[in-house]
Amino acid sequence: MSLLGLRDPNIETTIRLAGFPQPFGDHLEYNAMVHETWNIVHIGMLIPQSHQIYVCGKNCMRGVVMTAAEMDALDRFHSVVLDPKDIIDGDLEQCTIQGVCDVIDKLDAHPAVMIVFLVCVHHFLGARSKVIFEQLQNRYPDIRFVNGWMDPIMQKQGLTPDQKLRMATLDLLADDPIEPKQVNILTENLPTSADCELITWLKRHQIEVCEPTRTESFSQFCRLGKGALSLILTPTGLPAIQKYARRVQRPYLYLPFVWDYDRLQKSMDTLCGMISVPTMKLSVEECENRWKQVKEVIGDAPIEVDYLAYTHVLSLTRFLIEHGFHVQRVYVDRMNTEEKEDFIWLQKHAEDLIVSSTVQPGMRLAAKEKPDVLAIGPKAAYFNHTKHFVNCIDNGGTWGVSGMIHLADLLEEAFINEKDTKDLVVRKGLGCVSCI
Amino acid sequence: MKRSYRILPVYTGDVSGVCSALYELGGMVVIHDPSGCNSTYNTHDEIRWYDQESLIFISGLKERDAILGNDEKFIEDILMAAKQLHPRFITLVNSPIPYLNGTDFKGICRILEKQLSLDCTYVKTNGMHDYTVGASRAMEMVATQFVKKGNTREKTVNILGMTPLDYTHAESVSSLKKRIEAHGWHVQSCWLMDCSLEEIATAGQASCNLVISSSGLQAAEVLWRSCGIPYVLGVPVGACEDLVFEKMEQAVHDHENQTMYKNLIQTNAKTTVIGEPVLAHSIAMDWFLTYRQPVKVICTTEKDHRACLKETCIALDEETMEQALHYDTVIGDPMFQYISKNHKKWVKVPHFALSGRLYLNDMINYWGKDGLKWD
Repeated sequence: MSLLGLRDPNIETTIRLAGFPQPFGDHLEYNAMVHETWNIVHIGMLIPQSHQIYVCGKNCMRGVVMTAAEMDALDRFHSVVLDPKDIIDGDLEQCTIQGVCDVIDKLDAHPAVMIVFLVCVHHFLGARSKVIFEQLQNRYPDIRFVNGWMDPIMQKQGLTPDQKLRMATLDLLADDPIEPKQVNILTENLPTSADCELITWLKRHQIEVCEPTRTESFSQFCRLGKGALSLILTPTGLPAIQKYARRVQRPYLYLPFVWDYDRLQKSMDTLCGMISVPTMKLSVEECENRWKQVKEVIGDAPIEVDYLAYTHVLSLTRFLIEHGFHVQRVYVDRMNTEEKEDFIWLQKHAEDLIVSSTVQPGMRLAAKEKPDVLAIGPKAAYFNHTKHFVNCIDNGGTWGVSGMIHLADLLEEAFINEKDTKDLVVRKGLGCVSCI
Repeated sequence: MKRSYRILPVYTGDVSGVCSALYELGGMVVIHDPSGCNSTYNTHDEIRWYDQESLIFISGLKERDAILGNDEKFIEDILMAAKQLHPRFITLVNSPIPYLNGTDFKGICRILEKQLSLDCTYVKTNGMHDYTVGASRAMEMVATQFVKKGNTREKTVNILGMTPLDYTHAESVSSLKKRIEAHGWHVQSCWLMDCSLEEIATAGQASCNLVISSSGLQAAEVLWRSCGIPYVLGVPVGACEDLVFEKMEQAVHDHENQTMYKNLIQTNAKTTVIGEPVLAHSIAMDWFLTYRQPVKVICTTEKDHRACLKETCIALDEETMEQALHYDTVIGDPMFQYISKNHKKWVKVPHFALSGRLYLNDMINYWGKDGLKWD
């Protein structure tokens, strides 16, 4: 151990010494028993009345089919299992087409949408996805086919499978006549909280805010195509929304949930300007008062934060430190490139803040009982084996000052009450149905 | 089309089978895979991950490295982790892309062995088989690599084929050991739960092997050939218990391998047991001895069909399983109910390798106080 109590430079460093955006190298990877993030199965299920078919080997299939099973959605999930012959001697395109057709022919009724997921071997064998989907569409004109990918081999150099899926999902929306009073919030996993100022302010000015997560049928989903403006709150959906905006020639606005009043106010002002409604002054004072109250309750309890809970983890950490909280560690394997300024601020003002990996092999042996730690995020909870944690993923459907106040509430609650960490963090897709 | 599944999940894959088998031996298992294999394994196929440490990692293979054959990075990363974590051995496991590009795993093992002075072995997988294939090959590797010949100790037995994928209840190992000891036998080693590499090394001294799942059969064959230890195929469940121990005595006496359930009658059955063959046949035999009624066995895993009887139905895909499932009483994992239309009674025997965590609280300890109940 070093003077700062650092265990191993391969798994943790200080923010002062950390590289940006990647503080640790790409090596073997450990996977912690924390599974609350959404995967492509969860995201695909957000399209109402859609089904999914995966075309892959058994080992790859297992993770996705059990995701569907655990969310009680096996009736919307189907498989085409590849065997070595298909890869070595077979015609993968025809095998894929036949398998998908066979599944569809076995169903009692055709689904409105069929997402067909191709995998890494389709890339490597040069299978022509265009041919596959043209043939499927010709054979089943009543079904809308979506080309999904489960190709993690590509994700470190390009878009991740979930980014590609979000992109393909938006391809379902037509370039419908614009409804000027309709604003969409797109590519989010969870519905935006009803008390979020984005929602309340727009509603107050007779703007209808639509979200895929609140649609119950495919026809309702398609009505999103009338939106005059698209909003996006989390960065993973950006490539999808940019492509969509280009296609339909309509504006979009990225409103990142940063922990900075001025930037949030600017975002709000821009939005209001774009839709020609009066601007809204954010409730900064209320927020400050709430955080002061929480600080009085929590005091100097050690806090550790992970990248899963909030999309702008460095901004959040900075906010907490600026408000006098004792943040001792941030778990992050790759920093959000939008957070360079916050990174530099932390280097200057909190140079001993520890940055921990979550995937380096040494982390396998790093989880330790530290029940006094107050964790924000499931990985921070897991690595400390603490029962005091904020159980949140990807901003948890919150944004802005209301989202900041919401975290203050959650943090206070987590400090006071215990949670069953072992039961919670292993469940897949926080916010989805979980049958386990 | 045999490979299309309307609703049924697939079994745990071969990669997870290897990891499960080797979990407790102190080695380091590296899956050469971009992503997903480790998460799938520890989420759906492994109950020990949260509480019990084991060195199982993925390589995080990237497209560029796969295309250019950059094995150097793979090797360097393993060396780095091994020097940091000090595993007792290293096992490499394959997945579809390295399988497709013909990565030379044996060559990589030789390099690693030279650099680390550790046993390093490749267990052949490709991500396209079920867990029985992976677990079976892993146990075969252990039998080949780590067992030393020794003087036979009387009335000692190795339990072969014990992984949480088939025997998930937390007390399975201790309960089975107690039953074996109650019959006057001593457990030499238990493959591969609650067992150290040192105990494995002494497995060659056992007088008999008891194969309780198809994952253990290949290892039993190795030990039969290398150490001359006869094996008995069958699980001491319910009414079969005494029969298993009789067969063990007989195997040692005749120096001949035995199948506990070989007299099972399957014709004109109205009852079926569906699942992994060794346990399914044993449960069927339990029913047969209890009710004196024939029972059909439907084997649904890829290994090991040598454990099946002539009349056993082998159904490896959803379509064949659906056609085969037409019995009044079905004993098997609840998920098979999705494809069985006409049954009147279902005896739930959750199988972790199929239904994963969905029935985790209902797992059966076949040797516990409650055991397997028909009603």
